[in-house]
Amino acid sequence: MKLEKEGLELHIDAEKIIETTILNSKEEVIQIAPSSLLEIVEKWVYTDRKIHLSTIVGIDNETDITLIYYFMNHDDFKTLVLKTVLPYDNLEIDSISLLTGSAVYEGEIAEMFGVKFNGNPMNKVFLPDGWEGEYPMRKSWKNKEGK
Amino acid sequence: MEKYERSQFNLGPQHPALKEPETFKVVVEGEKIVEAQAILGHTHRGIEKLAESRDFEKTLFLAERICGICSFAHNANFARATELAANHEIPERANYLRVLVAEMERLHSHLLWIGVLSHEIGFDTFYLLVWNDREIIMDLLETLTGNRVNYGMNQVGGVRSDLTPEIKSEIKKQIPKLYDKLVKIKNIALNNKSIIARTRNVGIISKELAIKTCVTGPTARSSGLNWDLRRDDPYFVYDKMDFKVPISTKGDVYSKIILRVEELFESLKIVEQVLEQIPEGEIYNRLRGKITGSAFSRIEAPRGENIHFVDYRNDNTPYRFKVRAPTYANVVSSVEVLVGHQIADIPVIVAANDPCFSCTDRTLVIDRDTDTKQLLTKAQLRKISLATYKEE
Repeated sequence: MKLEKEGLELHIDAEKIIETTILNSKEEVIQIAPSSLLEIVEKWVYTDRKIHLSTIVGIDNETDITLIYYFMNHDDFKTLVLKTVLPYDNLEIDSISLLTGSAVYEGEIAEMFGVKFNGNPMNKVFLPDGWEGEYPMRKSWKNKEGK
Repeated sequence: MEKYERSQFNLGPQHPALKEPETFKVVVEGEKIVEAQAILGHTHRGIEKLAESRDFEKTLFLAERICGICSFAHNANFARATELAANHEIPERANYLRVLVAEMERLHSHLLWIGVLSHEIGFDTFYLLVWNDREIIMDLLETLTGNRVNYGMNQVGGVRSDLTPEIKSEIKKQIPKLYDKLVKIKNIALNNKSIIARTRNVGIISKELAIKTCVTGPTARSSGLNWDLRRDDPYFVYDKMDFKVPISTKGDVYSKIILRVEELFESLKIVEQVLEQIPEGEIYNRLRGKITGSAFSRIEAPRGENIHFVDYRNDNTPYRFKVRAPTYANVVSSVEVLVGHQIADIPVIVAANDPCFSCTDRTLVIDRDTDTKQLLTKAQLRKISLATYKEE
């Protein structure tokens, strides 16, 4: 996929794209393998593309956890949405904390969903000290009233 | 120069310089900050998890409670995200009304910020002056929506209260008055020696740092990133509005003051245009039934890019609701620039981003019984308070 503007496109190699879908809000979502994420983002950052990471969304599908990375290009304000699926038996992905702003988003997903971000210095953002081993944003998590 | 010993202190969670509970762990050498860290999470209410057990009509009001200052931005953004997910059209008049309230909210939010910042630097005369003038906007918001905060203006599919001719003429009457007040505020804010001394060259966020830490809104624009979603990714009816996006390249606190003051005038311009252009018609087109689909919605809240993501799976309750409030994106940058400054600059630098920690902390349910912590019921709390006051 290319975002074109005088050679400042964000490029993803075709062989890395698993599937492309379109959201109801018209964004194109590009699914990639978890292993190729860091390489793609590194390439953008080191080739001086002005990348803005708006947020990372985690969704628990009860057999896997889907991560949606919502990027924006500062040159033309177009969005680029990357999606990657982590199965429950391998909840690990490389951190993209070379973009400093990503640390808090990754930290939040780490504590809420139990995904391990290799290389992220932050793994606790909101939860109180001493909270271990439970991931409240998972669908299976219930509070004491069973809700 | 004398070498000072390193010591660490915690600013917050309860501290006069912070308006909301948040901890800043700071390592200092004498007065100079050498390390800083923000500890978030003191105002978690579990809104994202709660939304998974409520239908969209109820979640709309929950979304409004994310923030007390820019409540409309969250409320409107959730409504928009749900409408996008359902491919649901809303009447044009409703879109104009959303722009109207959004800009009035930006006016009151920016005025509030100027007040808070002058309070942080000890210039309380100006703080009270600005907040007094802000009442004009608050009264207009109350007239239009019925509330001063948490307006309850939106519905999924439109808005709840209409702009009657009386309210319209009332707003029109107040615009010139407000304009004069803004000119006065601008003169003081940009020329006062105390403000300049405390804010110029303080807390500089360079363009590189701004990109790296993914900042948004006025914080990004004051660091030279020319980016405003109202212009660059128009929503509601912003594409029909004529306004400028002020930017600054310096990145210090003073440039943020200039920027926000300029934005006040632009917002007032948009309010005027809405009143001129608003078409007659319906204001609500109800959305019924179950929704399938997911959508991102991003709008320019007073503090920056506000993102709501919803995922509906043949249900009227969101399977996943995700919020990213602008302060969440900006807090990293303010912590990075603290290093090298004096302790006295902390409130100014932190306040410069117009932080709203209630927006930032919203994700988690803390309603849990552990061995050490126990939640008190209302009756128990009442008992304690009665006992306490009796003693006095």
